[in-house]
Amino acid sequence: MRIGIIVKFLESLYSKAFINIVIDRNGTTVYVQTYKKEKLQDSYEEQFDVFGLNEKLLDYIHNFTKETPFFYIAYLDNSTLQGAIPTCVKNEMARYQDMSESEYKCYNKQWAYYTSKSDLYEIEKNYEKIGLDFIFSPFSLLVHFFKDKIADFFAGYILIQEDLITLSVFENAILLYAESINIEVYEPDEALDETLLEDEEELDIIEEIDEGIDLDDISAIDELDSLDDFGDIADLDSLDDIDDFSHNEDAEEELDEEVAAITHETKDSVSTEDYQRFTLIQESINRYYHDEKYDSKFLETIYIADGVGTSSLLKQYFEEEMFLNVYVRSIDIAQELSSLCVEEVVS
Amino acid sequence: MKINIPRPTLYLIILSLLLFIFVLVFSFTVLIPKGKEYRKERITVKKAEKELRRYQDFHNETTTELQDLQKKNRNIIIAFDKVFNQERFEKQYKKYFSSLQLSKLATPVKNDEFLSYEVNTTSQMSSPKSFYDFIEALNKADWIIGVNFPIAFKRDGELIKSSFTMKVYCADQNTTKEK
Amino acid sequence: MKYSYIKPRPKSVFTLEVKLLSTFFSISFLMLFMTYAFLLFKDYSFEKSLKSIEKRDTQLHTSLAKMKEQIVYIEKERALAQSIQTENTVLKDSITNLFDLVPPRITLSTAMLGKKSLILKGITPNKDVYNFMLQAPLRSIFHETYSSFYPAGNGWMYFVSTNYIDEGNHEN
Repeated sequence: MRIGIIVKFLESLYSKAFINIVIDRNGTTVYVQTYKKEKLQDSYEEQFDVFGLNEKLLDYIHNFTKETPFFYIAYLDNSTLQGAIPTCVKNEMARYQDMSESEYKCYNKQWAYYTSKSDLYEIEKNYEKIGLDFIFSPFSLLVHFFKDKIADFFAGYILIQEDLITLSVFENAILLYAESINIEVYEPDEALDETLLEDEEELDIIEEIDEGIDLDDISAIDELDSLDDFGDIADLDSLDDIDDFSHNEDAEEELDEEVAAITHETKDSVSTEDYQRFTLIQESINRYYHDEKYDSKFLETIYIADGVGTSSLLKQYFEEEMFLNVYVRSIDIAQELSSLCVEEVVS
Repeated sequence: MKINIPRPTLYLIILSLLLFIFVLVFSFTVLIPKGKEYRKERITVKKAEKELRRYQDFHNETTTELQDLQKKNRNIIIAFDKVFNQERFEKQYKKYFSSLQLSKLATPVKNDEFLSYEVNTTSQMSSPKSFYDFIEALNKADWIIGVNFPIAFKRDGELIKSSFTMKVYCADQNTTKEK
Repeated sequence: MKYSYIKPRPKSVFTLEVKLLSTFFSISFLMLFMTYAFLLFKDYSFEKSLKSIEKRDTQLHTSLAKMKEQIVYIEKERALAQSIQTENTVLKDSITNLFDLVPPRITLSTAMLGKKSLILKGITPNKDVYNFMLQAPLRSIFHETYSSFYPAGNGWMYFVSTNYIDEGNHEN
């Protein structure tokens, strides 16, 4: 017992470093929090243009790992083959999903989140040089973020990241349905192409957005009666075109056009993205309704954890198209990941 | 310009310094004086052992000396320890005389570290030669006996009557007991 | 491990460097302490040795004293025996001398030998024989010689010879 007290004292001489790695489309974000005696000391954030490890990133992390032996490196799982199922019993899991290739973790003995074993292995291998201490599922993140709401309210809880939407439906803290949706940017519409091809800059923007069609999404779409949705998109495009033309009629030539084009591109892309997001979520919710496996009750409310910076349009879409009450909360993914990490260690 | 040492390294340096200081302090305040003490004591003990050995040798010498003496003077020692027995004496030395009488033992007299008994002797012999033989034999007796003056000879027909005193010496039992 | 798929690596205050340093210093300390323990032990053993030496010393001392006493005693015994024996022999010799001294013509009836005196009583055919044969040698030995005569009949004389060695000593 006496040795325990000495060890505890020695441990308190060091600060704890929580190093969180979040991967998105643009690269790697490293967010570090240092704790001294269980109290937050400092936070640091840095972006890197790399997926995986490079020397710069290693050096940056090393700055923190050399200061204390108590460093914890956490990684947010970005596997495309992850999700969650409303059971924790092994035998029942096969009902929802083939878990032979998956690593899962039970939550509250009631539901489980899972991810691909090979993806997990891949992640660990990528970060071999520094090693990982934690790999968290976005589902844990989502549940942690909305902990208070999930306990009381029957609603859909959605986490929006740059290239991943994590969706779940909880009633009385019991998971009814969950899906992890990968966002792939669609090939832009032909109408859009014509207006945008004029500028090289615009071309660059196109290349950013244009990543091809994801087969998964196509198959998902096949299941739906979603011709109406396509129609809506076409309408949107025409509306945008009108706006574009009105801007073109204004004073200065190319500069204005370019500026306007670019700003409108972002505005356009945001709203396009938001619409894409809305669509994906809507499709997922429909799956929830139609699939017999899930105990579906009609959703009235959704809580959105916005990790990207959505526009008010997203909220509008849900309210108008699906007649849902929407509550949007901003979330700093990296920060939230860090608090998960802290909880894992400190408690 | 502030030199930044990572914390664990700093702690390590501090720890090493502390431990090293402890080693130095311990060595100089405890070990070295103790070492000096050890050396001193060792010499003392060696000297004492040497002295003891010498003493032991001397003791052994004295022992052999004593044993030699005891061996050489065995007879004398036995003679001194022997209790004087008149009957035996008479028996042993009768042959030298025609007749021999001894008086009773008187109380012993302290004679230095020994006791002596005075024994009055009267005898009759045919010739003085017996007397000479007697005295010679006396020197080889079982006891330490000395013949004292006065000696009186008286002719009695064919025989010579003689009377004299003998002193029988023996060890004082009290003092020997103390030994 | 509540949320993570993987277990964190163990973190300890005792990093490899700390462990190495501790081991190194432990060995050093161990050696120092062993030396110290050795010195303490030697201290104790020296003390014990000295005590035992002291004890042995006293033992030898008493034994030696005893032996010396015995030696002295035996010496005394020997001396005494020697002197007694010498005295006896001297006595025998003097008696022998005395009786040899007496000429055949003189017959002794009594002889009283003292330490420093000699009294002879006997009969002699005549004075001359006595004077020349007995008195003369006696005189040479003794300091004082006295003679008295008594007629014995048939011409012979009884004599009493009193002789002393040492002046002024007329006691036996």
